Amino acid sequence: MTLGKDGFQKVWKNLFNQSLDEKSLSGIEKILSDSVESEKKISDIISSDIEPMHKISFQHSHGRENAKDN
Amino acid sequence: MQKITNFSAFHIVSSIKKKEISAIEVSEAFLERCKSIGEKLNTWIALDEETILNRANEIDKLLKDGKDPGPLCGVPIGIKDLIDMENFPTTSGSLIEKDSFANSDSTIVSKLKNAGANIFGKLNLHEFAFGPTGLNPHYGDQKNPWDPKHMTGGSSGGSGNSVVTSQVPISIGSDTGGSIRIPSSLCGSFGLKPTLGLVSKFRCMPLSWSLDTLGPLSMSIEDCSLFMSVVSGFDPQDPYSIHSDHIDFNGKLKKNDLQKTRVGHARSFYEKNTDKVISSRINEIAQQISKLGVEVIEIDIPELDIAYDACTSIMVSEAAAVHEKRIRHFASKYDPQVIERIKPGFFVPATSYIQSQRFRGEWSQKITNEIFAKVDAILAPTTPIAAPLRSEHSVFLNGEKKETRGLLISLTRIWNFYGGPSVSMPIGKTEQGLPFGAQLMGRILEDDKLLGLAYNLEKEKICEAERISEL
Repeated sequence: MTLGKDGFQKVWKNLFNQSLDEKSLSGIEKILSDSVESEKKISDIISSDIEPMHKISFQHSHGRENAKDN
Repeated sequence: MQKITNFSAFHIVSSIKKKEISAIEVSEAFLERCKSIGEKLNTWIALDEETILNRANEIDKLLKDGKDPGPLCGVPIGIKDLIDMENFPTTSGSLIEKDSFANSDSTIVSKLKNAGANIFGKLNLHEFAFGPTGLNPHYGDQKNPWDPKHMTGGSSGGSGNSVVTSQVPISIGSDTGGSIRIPSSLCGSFGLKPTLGLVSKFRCMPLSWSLDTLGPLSMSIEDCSLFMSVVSGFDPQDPYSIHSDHIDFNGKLKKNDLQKTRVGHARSFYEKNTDKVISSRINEIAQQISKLGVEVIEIDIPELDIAYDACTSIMVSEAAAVHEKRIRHFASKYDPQVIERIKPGFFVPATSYIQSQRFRGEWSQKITNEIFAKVDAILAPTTPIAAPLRSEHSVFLNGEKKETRGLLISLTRIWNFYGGPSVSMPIGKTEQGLPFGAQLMGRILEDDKLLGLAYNLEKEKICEAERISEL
């Protein structure tokens, strides 16, 4: 569930004291709709023990000798 | 005798060290190209002749005194203008930052200077690196050297057109969704997006810090590798930095047989939305490398749709956080198209961002454990099209009208989401004479092995960068 166009307008006004035009509102709506849909799919498939932030670690690199993690 | 400006970085270093040429001769020759060509292609935002010549004299003096200036002795290098260099403004391609003078060097510039490089100046880019076209209303559109009516691709457009026209042998780009590889493909150079964290981003303007990387564009894999041997390494000042002592960039560049190499051909990843000329050439490459003994395996990349959306949520959220203060004070000074791309980031729910990052960790592990257990590298086009006209906001592809910007990043950004290395190699030209590239993607932290494979393909003439001498 996202704010909707009126909600976007209020937040933008509050943050930047400006208004959003129709083109911006449609762009925001499209990205948010995709974002929320993908969030639902992710919640269904993700393991419970995954860290909140992604960072490269040497767990990703297999077969390396003498690899050190920082 | 070959013109100095056609020398590779490797050749420049050995020639200066053997005293066959001086650093000042090298600098003067490249500077002449920068002045005559750079303006036509809107390559540079800052180019300071006095700084360049003083540095060249300093290098020659070191050599005269019997000292070794380092592995990049006298090599001219251009840096994308979102990287700090002391006493120069870091404009990030924006008017808002035009007077933001850096009071010290970024880690990458510091490493290059310590290695004897001559930093020529600051290269033009898409404003705040947030766009794949290289169009910039403030400093001029970066123009494609093969036909200036066409775009360079971006966001590192000046980095792309500078190396192909021999203004510098190596340039630095940044890559958050393809910004090194896209101009490499559209201009016809090599370009490496390294593993996330392998090259320090300390004192560089971020776009989306968990996706951003810095890397080289050059006319040979050997020069990419030389550059990486100098700039990679742990930096405690960059929170994303990782240890990489085990990576040997020079040791892997050997001509060897490819019998034990396995390459995944990710046909389903690109074929539907790629120009037929480009997909045919990729198929041809799959056959060529197969004849050289490479085992080519058809592969599918899992959960691509979710990964694309998650990548977008991360990129716009982080970009919004980076730009919030600037937008509050200077919204009217942004390129209108750039600010439009940032706006959605202020509304992505925190849970979407966090779940996207969590998914990324799991997906990334899956790619490493499942795909890279079967193959050493993945082959695909870098861009599904060659350079569009600078005026083209949409193009027809396989009978369908598509937005140019979305197409240009469609095959690159997923590898920023993964985090591993990806190298773009020039593999052909369209009927109009515009170049296009292929990408090889490698396992996280195996950048050296990936460059080793690309080096062998270059030696077999499967990929080759062509310089432009006259415009």
